[in-house]
Order: sequence, then structure tokens, then C-alpha cells
Amino acid sequence: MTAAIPTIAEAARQIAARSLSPVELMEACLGRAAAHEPALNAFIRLDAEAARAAARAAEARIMRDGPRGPLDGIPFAHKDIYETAGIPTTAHSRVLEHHVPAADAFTVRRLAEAGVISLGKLATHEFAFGGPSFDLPWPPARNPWNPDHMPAGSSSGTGAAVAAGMILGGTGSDTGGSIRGPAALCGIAGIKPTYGRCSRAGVLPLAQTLDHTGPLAWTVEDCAILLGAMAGHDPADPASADVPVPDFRGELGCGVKGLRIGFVRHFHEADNPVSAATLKGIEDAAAFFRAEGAEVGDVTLPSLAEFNACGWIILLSEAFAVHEAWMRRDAQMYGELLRDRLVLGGLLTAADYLAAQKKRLELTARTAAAVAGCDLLLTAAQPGEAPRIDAVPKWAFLEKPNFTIPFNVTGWPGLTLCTGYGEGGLPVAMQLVGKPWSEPTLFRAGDHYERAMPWRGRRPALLDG
Amino acid sequence: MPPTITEAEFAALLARAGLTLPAGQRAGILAVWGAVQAMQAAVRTPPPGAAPLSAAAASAEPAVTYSLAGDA
Repeated sequence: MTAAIPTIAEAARQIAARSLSPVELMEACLGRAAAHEPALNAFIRLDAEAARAAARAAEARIMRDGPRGPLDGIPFAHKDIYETAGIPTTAHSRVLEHHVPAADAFTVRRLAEAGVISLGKLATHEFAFGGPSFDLPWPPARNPWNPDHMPAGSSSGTGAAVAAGMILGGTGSDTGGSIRGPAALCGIAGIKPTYGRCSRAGVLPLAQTLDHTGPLAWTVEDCAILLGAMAGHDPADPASADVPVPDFRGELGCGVKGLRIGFVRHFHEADNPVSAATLKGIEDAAAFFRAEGAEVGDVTLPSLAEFNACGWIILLSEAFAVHEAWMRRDAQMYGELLRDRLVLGGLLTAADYLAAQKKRLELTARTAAAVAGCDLLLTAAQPGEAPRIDAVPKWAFLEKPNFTIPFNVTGWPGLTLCTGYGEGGLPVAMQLVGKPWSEPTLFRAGDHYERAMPWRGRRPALLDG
Repeated sequence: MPPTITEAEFAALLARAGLTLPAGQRAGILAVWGAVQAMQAAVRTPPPGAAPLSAAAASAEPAVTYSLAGDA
């Protein structure tokens, strides 16, 4: 049954060959959503009838004119911080429970032009920072590999819905790891592109100098396809870079021979030691890359603690600035978790913020110098399997440094992908990181690994039930 | 790690931020404030080999700089 869920690339080929109907593809996704959404809470808003109507219209157009490209007719959904014209965009918060945007976000528009069909809006941690929370108008998303566990966040609904086959891809945002974390704990793929690669215009902010938009999907190749539709200069986002958009699939199939991969061993062995299964997955990946002709050697970056201090001071400061007026008017509108976290940002000073921004330049320069001879970096994405959803401490981000925020601080692209399963049967993952604007090489290495491994043939067991 | 400020000093920080918190919430946040203080110190720690209070460090261009260079 689970083998019937195609990747975006497979579905695109079949739709182009007219051997797969977009209507049937949509019905299959809606069927999985109907069966599993009650246990997973991946969606805040699921509009099956609108999705069916759009699939019928797409099918008629494709039959008449052929597909626009590989995303035409693909079941998809947006994290509920992406603004959608005429459709509520709540940030999973009581604060914006009745917010109906007048216009689509830039990336929503680009993806719609490419032909994706939206099933609805996906759960998130409140304003991409507060979760998992049980005191919001909607329940938190759960992990399809075991619904007693969290899917990570903040792109929690996207991770859950992709892994469960309710959609073939979806949008996420990443300020400290919110694309790469759910991709890791849900056993899928997710890319945080280079800062400035994708517009954030029309996406509710968490911390503007760290915020990135990007896709999550079942495979690395699918992420490359989606990023191709999302990327591009947008004058409405001051951080958007006016750089050429490459063919993100252009290097797929080229192997890894000759690539120089820096192994950031101290991140996951010393700075924040990972589980045995996570460590094995990363070590096995390093051995695989070596066997395939890549040069893999240890590199030493600034410590995770340094990156986390810098990243969290910036994130907390900027997040409080976004929410200051709402917090002062009625902080009780927020869930407890986000409300308490936001308070920390209100207590920081301008000097704290500027010291952190200055530290950011220093950390980025030290990182660039340390990896001057590398094409890619390899380390962990998460410390282990997903924890139980009812056992996530409010202050987890202060207790141990995370593996993903270093590359929000530098703005470098990071790709997370599955490396197997842990003792609890939930996925574990690795993180590959590239130099700025090197996403095609990142996809090349990730895709090469993924195709050689068996992980893409296995879906969460609940889909077999 | 425990915070190195008193409850009164913490109350002053909250007042400056314009936030009024119930006692329980205030105590919970104060309990973790030490971790934030460690971060405040970390971002002020100079890089390896740099003098902590040098003129060069003090006069280094801030990261957040207003510029009209693009309009010239």
C-alpha cells in the first residue's frame, strides 16, 4: 500500500506520460489524510473539496496543454505562516485566529504558478517558535512514525503530512532549524537554502535576519524541484538576493567523486553528543561518501555553544520586537510556551543584540576560514530520535545547543536527510551543509547517498494499518 | 545554571520591558535567566587570540550599519 505513494519526480513523469491522473493522485492523498489526520493533526485547515476541484481543473488543462512542469497537479500544502489570499493564516495562534490575508506570499504565488494544488494549511509551532503546545486553538501535529512522539518543529505539520503521504511536498520556514528538524525526525528531506535565496515576503516572521523559507519533501530530488519553484529575487524582501537561480537538479547523478567533505565531528561527539543510532548513521554516511570517491576529513568550527549563544540572542531579540505590541496588550492571547519564551527577548538590551550581530560576523568569518578547503560539511541534524510529545521541556533550547542554528547564523544552506532508524523505530538523520549558493552540490551529494540507501522504501507503519 | 541577579533586579528588567507577569510565570523565567546570562557573556567573549578590551575591538564596525552606498 505504501509503495503506491509516488515522489514528486515520479508523479511528474507519470502525469506527463498521462499514466497518472492528478485527480486520482489527489484522491489518494485525501484518502490518507482522512484516515490519519485524526491521529496526526498535521492540518489546521484541510479543504478537500477545493483540492478536488483544483485537481479536476488541472487535469483538464494538462490533458489539453500538457503539464507546466514537474509540479503541475502535485498535492501540496503550506505551513500556516505563509499568507494565502482569502484563506485564514493563523500562525497556529489565537492572536491571528481570524487573520485572512489579502494576498499570497511570494513563494505561495510562485508555487501556484508552477501548478501545485493546495490541500490546506499546515500546523506549526505557534508563530514558528512555541511548541509543541496543548493550549492553542488547534492541537499540535504528531509524528507519523509514532503519534506519541513529536514531529519536531516548527514546520511540524509539513513534516508529518509529507511522511504520512497526505501531500507530496510542503513549505516550511527555518530560523533555528525549523525545516531541518522536522525533516530529520519525520524521516524525510528538507532544505534550508542560502539566506536570500527564497523570499520571505508574505511569510509571518520569527526573526528576520535568521528567517529562511524552503521546502520539505520525501526525497532530496523533490526538494530540488520545489526549491526551483520557490527561489528567485523578490524586491519586497530586503534580504532577497538578486542572484541567478540555477538548475537545482543540474548536478544530480554526478556522484560525489572528488568532493571534499568536512566532517564536523566535534559538533555531535563533544559539543552535544548524539544517540548511538544517530552517530552510526553519520559515520556510515561518511564511510559511504569516502567509498564513493569523496575526500572526507575532520574540520573544527567554532563551538555549538558559541553559535547557539549568538543565534538565540538574535532570535529572541528580533522575535520580541515582532511581538512587543501584542505582548504588552494581552500576553495571555499566546500559549504559555511561546509567551514565556518571548519574555526572554524583552529582557535583552540593545547592546546584547549588537554584540550578537558582531559575534555573528566573527563566527561566519571563522567558519569560512576553517572550511576553505571543503565543498560540503557533514554533521548531525538532531541529537536522536523524536522525543515523546508530552516530554518536551519548555526551555529545551536553553538546555543543550542545537545543530542547526549555526547555519542560520552564517546563512549557509543546510540539507537534512534520513540515515536510518533508532532503537525506538523512529528515524534518525544527518545534516549536509554547503557554501553560500551551492545548493546544487548539496543536492548532488544528498541524492547520491539517498539513492544508495534503502530508507526511501519505508513509510510509517500506520500507513499499512 | 542559576541566575546571578536578584529578584528585584529581575523585576526591574521586566518593568523596563513593559511586561507585567504573574508571580508564577516570573519565577519560572527567572529560574532559566542564568542560561541567557551565559549567552550574553558568550557573545561578548572575543575570538581566540584577540585582546578583550582593545581599541580595535571597540572601534570595529558594528554589524548593523545604516548605509546609503547603494544610492550613490
